[in-house]
Amino acid sequence: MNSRDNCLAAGMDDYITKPCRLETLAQILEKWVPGLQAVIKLPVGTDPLASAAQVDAVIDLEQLSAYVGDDEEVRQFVITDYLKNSHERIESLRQAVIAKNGPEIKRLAHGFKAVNAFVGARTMVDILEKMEEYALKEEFIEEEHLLVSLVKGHDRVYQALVDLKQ
Amino acid sequence: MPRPYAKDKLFSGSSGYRVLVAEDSQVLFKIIKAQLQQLGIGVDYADNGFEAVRMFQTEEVAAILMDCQMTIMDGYEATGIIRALEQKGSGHIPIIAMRPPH
Repeated sequence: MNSRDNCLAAGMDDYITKPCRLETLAQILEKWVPGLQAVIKLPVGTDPLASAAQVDAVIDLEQLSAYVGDDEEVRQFVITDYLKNSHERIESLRQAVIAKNGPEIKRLAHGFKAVNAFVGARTMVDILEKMEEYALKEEFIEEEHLLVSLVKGHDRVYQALVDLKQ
Repeated sequence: MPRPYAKDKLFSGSSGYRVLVAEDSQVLFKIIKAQLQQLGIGVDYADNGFEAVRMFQTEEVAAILMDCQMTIMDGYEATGIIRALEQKGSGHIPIIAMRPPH
């Protein structure tokens, strides 16, 4: 039984994958709450196609907005949280790679991936996705190479976020 | 244990609708709360399944966004209890699961 079936078997009506975009959240609530569609307001300017064009940016601001909206307080909260914990997360990953601990690499990479998705750090998300893959295959030489890319990518993301932080 | 979001529940939103968010990560809660507020939807907060069941009984919300994996009581168990409670009445509250990717 996959987790979708688990949700429905438990009596839930539907599911979303988190983090989810504002539009997805609006759509699913409109589907299940009668009368909501008439009164809900979807902010303009969160066109997903616009964000797809910015793949090369270190921080995809469109993506950050799509997740956290334009609330500056929430943006600053997410950025502060990233800056506070990212070095420690990388160090834990490094230790897990040294210890050749596949399940731990997968767990840490998975958690760090979500955080990077929030801030729109696409390159980091891609690297961490590969780290998860190789963790399952126990290919630790590849993990070491990816870790080097991750540390370099992190330096750039960290600096960009420091610039964004007020 | 401090529960910083329990008190600011009474933002009812311009839509007049409120949704209960059951989520034990503060970062994720803060993000989803901001999203709901942008949509004009009010937010109630529970940081575990037990609290979600309690609030389902005391608060009038239009739907529940339920994290599956929470401490104390997970989202599956909480949903089971809410559905059992509903058997006594005639209502059916929409419960939408929030799952991590993959």
